[in-house]
Amino acid sequence: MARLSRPGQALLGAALLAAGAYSWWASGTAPFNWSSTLAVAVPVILVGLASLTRPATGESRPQAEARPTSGWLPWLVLALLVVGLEAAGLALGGVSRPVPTLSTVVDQLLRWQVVRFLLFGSWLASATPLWRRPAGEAASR
Amino acid sequence: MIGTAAWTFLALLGVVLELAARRGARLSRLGSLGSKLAGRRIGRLALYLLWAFVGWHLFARYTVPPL
Repeated sequence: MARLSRPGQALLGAALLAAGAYSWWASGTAPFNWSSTLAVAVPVILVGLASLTRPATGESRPQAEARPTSGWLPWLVLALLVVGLEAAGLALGGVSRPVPTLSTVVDQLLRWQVVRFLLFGSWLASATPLWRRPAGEAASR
Repeated sequence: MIGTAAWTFLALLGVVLELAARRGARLSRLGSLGSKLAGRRIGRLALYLLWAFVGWHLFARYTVPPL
């Protein structure tokens, strides 16, 4: 990972602070309310715009390319297990006690604001591949 | 109950896979897979729609069950 310059570090710090403050505000909003809808809509719109303006590369970062395709298989198996369990939970009505859906399980944790804060921050962070230019592409400009 | 244990197991499995990838195992990191998918427009659109749905479903439309 390339070292950031001082202005870059300051910018990253400010962005993390802003994302943390936003996540804390968002985690304090009530569900099924305009404020919680707004809290999700703002990053969805911003990431959507950033994602649209990022050209397709068809390639990825060099470190990802260096990995063999077999490096994906365990993740593919995990994804299939997740889809299978979710499908079983939905087929049983979504709130079945023996086989709940993922969101039914997560809902149990959302009663605490600190958990909502951590999950919201993680959700924001998980959007990074959608807007960030691959390292090789940025360097070639 | 069994389902909750299964979800916990899958979450831990994901953590173990990511840690193994970071420690040099012949595994792709989750972020690398995301970057790879996002490198193509269709993959990026699919990731974006999934990401937006997860955010809307979990943070705007959640229901905390009674204790």
